[in-house]
Amino acid sequence: MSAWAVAYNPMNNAIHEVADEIRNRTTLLEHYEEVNAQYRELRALTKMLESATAEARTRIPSQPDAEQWLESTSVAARDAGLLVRSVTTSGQRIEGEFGILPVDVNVFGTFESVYILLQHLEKMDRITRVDRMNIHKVKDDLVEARFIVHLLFANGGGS
Amino acid sequence: MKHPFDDFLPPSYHTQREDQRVMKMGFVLVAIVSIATAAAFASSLNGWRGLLQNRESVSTRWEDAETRVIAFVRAQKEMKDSVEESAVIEQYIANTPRSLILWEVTQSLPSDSVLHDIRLETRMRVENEDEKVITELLTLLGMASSDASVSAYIDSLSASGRFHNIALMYSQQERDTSKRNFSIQLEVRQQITLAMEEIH
Repeated sequence: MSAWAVAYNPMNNAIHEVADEIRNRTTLLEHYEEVNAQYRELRALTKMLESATAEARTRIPSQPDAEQWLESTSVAARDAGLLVRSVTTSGQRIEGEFGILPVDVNVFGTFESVYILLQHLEKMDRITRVDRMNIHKVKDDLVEARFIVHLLFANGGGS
Repeated sequence: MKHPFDDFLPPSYHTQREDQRVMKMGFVLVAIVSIATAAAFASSLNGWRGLLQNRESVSTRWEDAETRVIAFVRAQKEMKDSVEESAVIEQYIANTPRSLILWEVTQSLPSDSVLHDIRLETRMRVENEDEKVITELLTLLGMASSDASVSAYIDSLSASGRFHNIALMYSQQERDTSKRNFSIQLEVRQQITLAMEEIH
């Protein structure tokens, strides 16, 4: 009895405590493998996103560079058979990290030519957004098209 | 005279034998209890050793998991920052290429109908917590041979999956002809959406 009371019982209690601790921790570690897999996936996604963002940043010039864009657009419009009636830039505005220079482009020609010009604008190696577009049929296949294109640039020479 | 089967041994002998029996039983009992106690100790010690090994293994994994959790939270933060950064750039990029919009709008048009005007307008409004919501509104003006053609055009635009909130503004007779002038307003579906759960 004394051996049980002095040595065996406390030892048995200690064993139960350790067993409980192991059980609790094992339960908490049940999703460890899943969390590990999610972690690896998260890292891969973050890397991919960072690389895409870095790639996008390379397509944002540090200055509005409207002249180069205008030249490229005019050549593309002429090659597509369009008559460029006017190209007007309005005041640039700064929105935090980036700046926007709106450019108003008015062209005249066939619908197909306008479509080709639009594709050219979308393929250009800088981030732009056709904010407004108005295509009006004049006669037969001839249309008047007006685009307001937002040229994006980094505020403060970011890239 | 004593009967032959009567006990011929003296009572002191019987007493001595009884004492010896009691002592033997006592020894056996003590031995059994001792052996049982020793076996219980040995068994417990064996279990204890196993538990200690398990605890060590669990502790190692636990510490590793703690490190991983810290790394996971850091990775989540990095992901959130990346999403926020790309979301800023995303608002300056057209979600749907305009050439694709033109393609859908013209390809869905019934053969007996023509479009006179295609107008695209981008509207931006700021909602709660400076969240910018971009809506691209498309207005189509044209002429169709009948209301059925207008209806077929709307169905075709809906089926393309690129537009939503498609509404017929009007469909009216063109002067003295049987043709119908129509106007349709629709929204371009925003295809790229970046979502991020809050990190608590």
